[in-house]
Amino acid sequence: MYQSINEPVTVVGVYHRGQFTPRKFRWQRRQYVIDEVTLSSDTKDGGVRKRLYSVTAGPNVYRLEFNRETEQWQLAELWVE
Amino acid sequence: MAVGGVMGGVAVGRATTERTAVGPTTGRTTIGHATVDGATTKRTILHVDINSYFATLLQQENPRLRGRPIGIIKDVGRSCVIAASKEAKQHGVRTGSSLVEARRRCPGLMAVPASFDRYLDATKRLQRIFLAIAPPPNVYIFSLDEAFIDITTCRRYLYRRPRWAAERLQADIKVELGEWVTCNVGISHNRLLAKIASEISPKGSVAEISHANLDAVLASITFSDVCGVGYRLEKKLAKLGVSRPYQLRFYSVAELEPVVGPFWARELRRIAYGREPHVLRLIDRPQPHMKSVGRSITGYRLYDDEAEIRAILLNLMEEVTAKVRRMGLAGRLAFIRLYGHDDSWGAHRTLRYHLQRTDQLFEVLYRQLYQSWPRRFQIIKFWVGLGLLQPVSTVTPSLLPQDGQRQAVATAVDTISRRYGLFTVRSGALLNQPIIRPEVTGYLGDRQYQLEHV
Repeated sequence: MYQSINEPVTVVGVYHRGQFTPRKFRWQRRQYVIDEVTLSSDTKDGGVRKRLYSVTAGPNVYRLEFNRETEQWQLAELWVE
Repeated sequence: MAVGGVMGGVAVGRATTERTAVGPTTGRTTIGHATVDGATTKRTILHVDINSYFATLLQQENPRLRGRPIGIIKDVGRSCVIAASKEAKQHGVRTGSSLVEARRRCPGLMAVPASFDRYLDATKRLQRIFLAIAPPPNVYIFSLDEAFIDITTCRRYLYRRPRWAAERLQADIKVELGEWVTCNVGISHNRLLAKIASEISPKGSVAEISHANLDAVLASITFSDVCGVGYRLEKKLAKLGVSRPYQLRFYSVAELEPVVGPFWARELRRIAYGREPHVLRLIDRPQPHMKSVGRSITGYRLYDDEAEIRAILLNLMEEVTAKVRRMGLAGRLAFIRLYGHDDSWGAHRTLRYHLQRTDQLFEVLYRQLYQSWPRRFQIIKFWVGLGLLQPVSTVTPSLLPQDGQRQAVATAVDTISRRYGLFTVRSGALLNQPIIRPEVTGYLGDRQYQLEHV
């Protein structure tokens, strides 16, 4: 089940052919290297556009959210079993 | 680059498209033909169906769920499985099963809440892939996970074999959404048969129904594979001993009418020969705007508290009227339906004037119609809506000053909602209630709104 986290994170990634790909993120003073971006989605709540990245880092799956209005990242959810 | 050049050469705008019905009285299947720059090409439709869409996308984003039986539920605490992964389907879990029943059939089933926003985004990305195969108006998004693509005009230049287009689609979808996402593609000369082809083909494959195999297919499938034929109709036909479309050829309209009624008697005769039924022919009918907007919600429990019922109805009406205003429409048919465990009640009113604000709809649905309900049962499902929609530019505006003021307030609220989201500004009656937010449905009944206005 996904567990809500909603905490700010710092994300490092690369731009290639106009597309951003997150490579690693820092959450609670720990760095996580992203193995794979498994799905990305654009969502919209009113005029607030967000991009969601589902990523794997080690054995875990994370949902990172980029608010395109405020240009801020947060760790939205974490998969736990 | 070369493909782009050829695509330019097709000049779809110059091509003349004619769809001709051949042999409707001889019992032969209707065949469409298109004329492209003077050459006749058989009408060719692709039907794309993403396999177990909601569950597949979830497995794509979460590798730990791949290969495992999953039941998608609407939200945490919900008990109805709205979609199942292929692994769960192998255990007999079906869409609409209760979670208890699903877990009885498949003890290891994981229930995961749906992410409707992400499904809609994926559908919009699919739409872009389809439009790269065939330009508008040849693409019709039939539901969140299904589309019809008419490649007739592209065939001569790009896809001499329709299978090439189908295989390109499958490859492009994997690149766009991920390796785990597979789809069936059905190919035929009309939408009914293209959809049947994709329904009966193995997961992730391409299948074609041509005139050579048409009769064999119609004699081997059951009605659950036929678009538009529901469970109840299937049961009525079973009483006649009819379980496969081909068998209907041996019944006349007069023989079918007493069992299924005049409409379905004719429709079934069309299906028996592989011709498109009404529900698919409607796609060709231009629809400049939506005819009605409705919103329903099934509660977590039974409701009989008046304050709660009032708030839920108001919440649903806010969403309906916001959508209607967003599309620049106004309606004059207000309707409400409430469901209990085994009972329901509904009412509607056709007004002499058009409305598009919540206060107007609330006056009709809650203060007038709902108050006449005898309250015989507790409510589990609520449904409200506004029909007979017209563009607001064609409607006579109210000259009453209080209407003008309220309209100005609604317009201001809409401006805020567009910037910050629906319900940022809301009625005081909704302040202490959990807000029911807009969501998409698998059928995508509001496709025009979702694909053009959101």
